[in-house]
Amino acid sequence: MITIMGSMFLITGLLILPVRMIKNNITLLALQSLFLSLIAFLLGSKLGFNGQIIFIGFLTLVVKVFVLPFILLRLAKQLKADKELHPNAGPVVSIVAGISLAVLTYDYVVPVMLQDITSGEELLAAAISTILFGCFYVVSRRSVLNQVIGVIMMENGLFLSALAITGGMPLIIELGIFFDILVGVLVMGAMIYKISDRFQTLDIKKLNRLRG
Amino acid sequence: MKEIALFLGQGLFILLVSPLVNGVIKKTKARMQNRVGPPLWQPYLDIIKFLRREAVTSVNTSWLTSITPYICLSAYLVAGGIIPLAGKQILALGDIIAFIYLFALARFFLALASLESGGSFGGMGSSREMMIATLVEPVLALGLFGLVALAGTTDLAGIRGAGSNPAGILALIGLMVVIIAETGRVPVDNPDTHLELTMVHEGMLLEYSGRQLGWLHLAAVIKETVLLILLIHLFFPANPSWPLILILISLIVKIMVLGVVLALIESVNAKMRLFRLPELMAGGAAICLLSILINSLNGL
Amino acid sequence: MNNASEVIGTVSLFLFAAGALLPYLFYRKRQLSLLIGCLAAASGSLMVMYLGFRGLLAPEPIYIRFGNILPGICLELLIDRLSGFFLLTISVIALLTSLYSIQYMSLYSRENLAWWSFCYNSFLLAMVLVVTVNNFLLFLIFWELMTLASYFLVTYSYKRKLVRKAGFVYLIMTHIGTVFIASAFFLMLGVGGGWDFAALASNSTGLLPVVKNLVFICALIGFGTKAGVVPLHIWLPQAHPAAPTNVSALMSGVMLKTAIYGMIRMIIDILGVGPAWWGGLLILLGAISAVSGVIYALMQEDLKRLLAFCSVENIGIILMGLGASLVFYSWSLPVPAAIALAAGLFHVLNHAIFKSLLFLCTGSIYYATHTKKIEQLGGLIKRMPFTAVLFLTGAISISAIPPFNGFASEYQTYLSLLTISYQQTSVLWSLGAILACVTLALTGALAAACFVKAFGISFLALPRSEKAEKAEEVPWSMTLSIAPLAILCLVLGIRPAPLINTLTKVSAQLIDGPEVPPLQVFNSNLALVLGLLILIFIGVTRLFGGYRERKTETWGCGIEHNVKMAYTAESYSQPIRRVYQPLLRPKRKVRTEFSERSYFNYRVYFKEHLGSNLREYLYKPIRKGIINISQKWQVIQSGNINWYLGYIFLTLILLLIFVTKG
Repeated sequence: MITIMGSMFLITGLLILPVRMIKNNITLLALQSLFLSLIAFLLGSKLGFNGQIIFIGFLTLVVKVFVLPFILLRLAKQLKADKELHPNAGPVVSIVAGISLAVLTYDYVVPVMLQDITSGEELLAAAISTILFGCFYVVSRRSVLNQVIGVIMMENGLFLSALAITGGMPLIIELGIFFDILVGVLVMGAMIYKISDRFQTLDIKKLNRLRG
Repeated sequence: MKEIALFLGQGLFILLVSPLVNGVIKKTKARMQNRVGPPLWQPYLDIIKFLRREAVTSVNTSWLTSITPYICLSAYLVAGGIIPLAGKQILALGDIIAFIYLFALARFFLALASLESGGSFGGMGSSREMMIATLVEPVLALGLFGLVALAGTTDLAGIRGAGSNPAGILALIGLMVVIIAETGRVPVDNPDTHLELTMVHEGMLLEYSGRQLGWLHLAAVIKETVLLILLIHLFFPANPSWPLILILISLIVKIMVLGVVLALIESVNAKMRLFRLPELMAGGAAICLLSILINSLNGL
Repeated sequence: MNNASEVIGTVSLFLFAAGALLPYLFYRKRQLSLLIGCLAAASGSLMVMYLGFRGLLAPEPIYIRFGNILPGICLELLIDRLSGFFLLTISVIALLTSLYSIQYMSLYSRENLAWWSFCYNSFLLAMVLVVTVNNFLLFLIFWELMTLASYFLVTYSYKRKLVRKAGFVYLIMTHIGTVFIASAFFLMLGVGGGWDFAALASNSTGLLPVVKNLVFICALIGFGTKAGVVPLHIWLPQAHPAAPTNVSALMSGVMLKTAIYGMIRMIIDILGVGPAWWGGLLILLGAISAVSGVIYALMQEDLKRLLAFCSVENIGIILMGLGASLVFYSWSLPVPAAIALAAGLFHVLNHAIFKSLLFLCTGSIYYATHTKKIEQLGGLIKRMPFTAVLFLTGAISISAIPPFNGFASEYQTYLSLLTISYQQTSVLWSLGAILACVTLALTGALAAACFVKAFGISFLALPRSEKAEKAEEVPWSMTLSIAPLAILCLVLGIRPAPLINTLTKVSAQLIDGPEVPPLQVFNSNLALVLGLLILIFIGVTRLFGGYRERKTETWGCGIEHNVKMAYTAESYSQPIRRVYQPLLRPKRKVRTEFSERSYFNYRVYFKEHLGSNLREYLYKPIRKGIINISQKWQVIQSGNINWYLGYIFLTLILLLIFVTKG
């Protein structure tokens, strides 16, 4: 069951890459977060009803599945940003890149580089692939809003890897991370609003004046 | 007690002999120029004459001008006293390094005092003197420390005759150059004129008069003699087992001979341009260096 | 008995802290806050002086523990003889400077004096801790604190642009130094080893020779930057004139010495005996620093810049002693090594004394005339007689003229260098040692010229400006706080034996060696005979015809004498500038303009610019090269965020692929 959830997690991540509609991207992100929280629930019950992990899963559900997408969607509506117009990488390139990144992690990084880690290998592979997806997503998109989505995706990946290897970090740290992400998205939202207000665009190509 | 008596005796000896050395040099020069020249004892008469005169100083001067002649005189005399003429070290007063720096002491105060009157000549002399000193001192150090390294001690009794070896001749020539510069003789400086283009040492004394000038003249001749004595001590020492009187007589003879040599060098050379001095000094340094190299190759 | 030291040590640290913080309570009452700051610093220094004495004289090191301040790091002071000596040096200068500052800082009575007190006391606190802490992490922390506090002191008159620039250069250079110091420490750090010096020392015995050499070079560059070793000294002549003069006295007199402390601690104590070329390199650098420092000092016309360059010279002399010591250690001759180290340390103390003496006198001049340009001074010996005597004492001492203390320590350095040549190891070493001595002699002659100029032009003859004409002697509190330094100059010059014989024991605590037999020195006899002879001659003059002088005007060749006839500082140094042209490379421009006919009524324009050769031939090319390379690299800096993110992405992938397990 966990393996299936892990692959769902991976597939949602992969799907985000080629999609150009920002609303759909946000929805996919929420879906990914949902799988993440489900994984947490399953892991928690598998390890003998571990209260901590379940609590974290619940937190993920609230913050990442409902609150963050809500904020982002509202922001997209306010800014009338519904489509990424000129991505740096087209859909085909994105999907090919995503698949090759997944192959890299599944066939080389996890079994060869991280061979010492024996528990939760398949989840770890999914997690690392998602981190790389997020990274690639950030590189391939030009809209500021999409940068935020990419960062959250990376964060999802990191979260899953922590869950996979150690069964979750100490609660206090998890709480800190959630708070961090929440505030981060709020701040980024404000910044994005300012940027679009100032430059009349969300395209980061236009933001190269600070060059030394 | 005996040491103190010896020290005093040596100081007195230098004090009394040095005007004579100056007289010999002047006489030789005069002879070379086909003149009769002043009598040998003329420097004594000059100094005594000055000492009996009242001193006139500029209104701009302070205690520094008044005290400088005594400091110079004492520094040169102590430097002379350090050299153990009678065999072993008299009192533990210093060594070759102290010797060099006593000269620096005298020079420092004289250079300061000559600035005091606020005239141009004093400043000129002072500035040139310090410039020459920066050229002379390294070469002097090179020559002397080469001998020191050979003897393995800085103690003046220990380096007696350190230069009495083949390479020593080179060191002697090098040090001779230095001493000519240090005593302000042709080709570096002309002690006989008050011409603005040439004057170094005389420029510094220009504002002095009477008693103070007398002491400074005495100091200058003592400086000359002490340097000659040092050369003799390093290169032509007397056998210390000789009786004292014999050592002294041989010393006087040697000083006179060296004085005549100095006068000859002075007579056959023309005054050099001030800014060609580095070349002369570099030559002296090269000769000293050569002597050190030869010695150290022999020593290994 | 150790308890007393602990209490005093704690109290002194608290006093410094109080001196830093309390003035802020009386922020509005400037005079009061200054007074509190200075008095706290003075009393703190007094207690540190006690500690220094105890540490220097006690055969066993004193430990003062304060407990852990960071996990695993214990604030513990270890005062062995070396630390004790440096504490003593710091405290003597700090005590007198603090007393001096009470009056002197009234020049700045419109500025924020509480801030000054804060920086000043933190500076002292940091210096005291730097030379006593027993732990490399704390050493670095306090080293940084010292740098920062002194930076804020340098930029105290931050409203002037030059001051800000000087502070900037200072900050940059010292941080470059700190990087090297830190890397030297990290190189020595063992796997799982502790942070304290003892652990480092035991760890460093097993280091490879290559690593040892690397540590040495790093330490040399790091501490050399702070000490002002040529060619890393460029911050020094800018920072010292910018700071208030009492601060420059501390910086030049004491702060540079903490770098010497660091070198000794790191190289001799922790790193242990190394190859002989270490010492040779130190001697070479010392010789270069000494000569180039003093020759640039000679060319300055700002008194504080002159003194700053002169510090470079003296650091060079100290390094020569230190280098000789390293050479002897590597030749396994512990007794000459101990003596050479003692010579270096002795010069550390002496330089601290006469340099702060000179800086404080310059402060007095500035207080009285509001200028520190030599060309504007003159005739001060009549207007400020006490300051003149004090400055003269300092000038004689720094020119290494007997019977003052500069001679005493340079003499020991000469002997140590000559001892190298006595060993007859090889022609190279013998000749090198002799040449080092020759440089020392050259340095001495140049220093004498430099200070004849400094003293002669600024104190003698006639005043050259209205400011100098109106000068009055500074208040007693200032003169009296400088006077002990002058007395120390004379006392240490006449009786150096007790101090030197104590200092020879310092190295026994660092590297085991046999007892050094007490050294025989002649300085007291020399001074006695010299003094007696001077008195005798003065007496003789009195007997025959008296001591009278008649005063008249200076003869001006028929024209009435005026101040324009006197030699100026520029003209004084001109012959030397000309003779040492190859070294100095002045840029000279002469242009003649005829009005109608030649020979009559023509004007000559003469302009001579003396830049820094180092800046021209070393720093400029480096800067150019760096800028060139940076511009080439700018290609990758597109300004596009996607690109930057792409770099991160690529790096991540590459790391994932290529980093193999450790």
